[in-house]
Amino acid sequence: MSHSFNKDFSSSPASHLNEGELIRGLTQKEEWAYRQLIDQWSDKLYRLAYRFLGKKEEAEEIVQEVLQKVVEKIDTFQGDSSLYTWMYRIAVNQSLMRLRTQKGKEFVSLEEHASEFENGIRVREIPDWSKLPEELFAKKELHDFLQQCVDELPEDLKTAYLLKDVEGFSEEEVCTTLELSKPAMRNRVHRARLILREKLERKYVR
Amino acid sequence: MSVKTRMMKWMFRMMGLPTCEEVDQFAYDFLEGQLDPKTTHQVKRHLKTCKNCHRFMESYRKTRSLGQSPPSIALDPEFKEKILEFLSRKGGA
Repeated sequence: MSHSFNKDFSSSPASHLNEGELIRGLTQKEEWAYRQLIDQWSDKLYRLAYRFLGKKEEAEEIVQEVLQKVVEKIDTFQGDSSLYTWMYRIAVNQSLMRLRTQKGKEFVSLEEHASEFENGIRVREIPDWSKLPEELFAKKELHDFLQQCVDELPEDLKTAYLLKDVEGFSEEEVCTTLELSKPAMRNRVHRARLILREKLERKYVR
Repeated sequence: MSVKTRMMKWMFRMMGLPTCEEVDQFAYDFLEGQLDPKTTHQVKRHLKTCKNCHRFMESYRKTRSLGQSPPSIALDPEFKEKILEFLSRKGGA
């Protein structure tokens, strides 16, 4: 094999190809197109799957399944959405299917959060942990804890949160990928953030 | 507690400001710049008046930014090679 994958995928000459060229290459079963597909998307898909499932091996399997589906079904790709929205939708669905087979997941609710108000006024003093030293926020331990909290989110909140806040999708892209209305999407991301904020506060300042 | 909260609610109403619970509900739209200018102004005024909501908003903002800056995760380059071989076999490249 003449080309080996390295960590700097942006340096790949093929990364300058546009989506239309990539789709044509995939349809014609060109190896450069497979390579481009992997160069451009496998890390992103892996990251998403890993955040859903928390296991390296399972996330790798999801990447392989998604790319296999893309290669097999590229003829049926209608172009109603972008290629990557289509890929992410497959990745989300595959990840959710796996999550549903995992037993013993305990999800959290926002009931406690709702009880923070009386007559619409906060009744509990909120500590401002956002001013904690920056070194703390860079620590792996904190990100591991955050990942654990994300794992415990209800599935619908987790999906919207991962695409919007972690993957940095625009609102339109999240709505297209998950086939959600904007208000529903915003509500899910907001509720996810509230739960995560609460958990970070409990862990680090209470 | 209920007398105090009733008075605070009345005060916010008199000032034409949202309550803490409404600020909480506006948090997403506020940070994403989706609120209309009038409501944005009212939320900002509430945040200046109410320390608790100010702290809430700052920590909510921090929660969002922590999600946006996760540690980098990447696939093993060898695994990418395996996927390429797999796709080439399946697709017949």
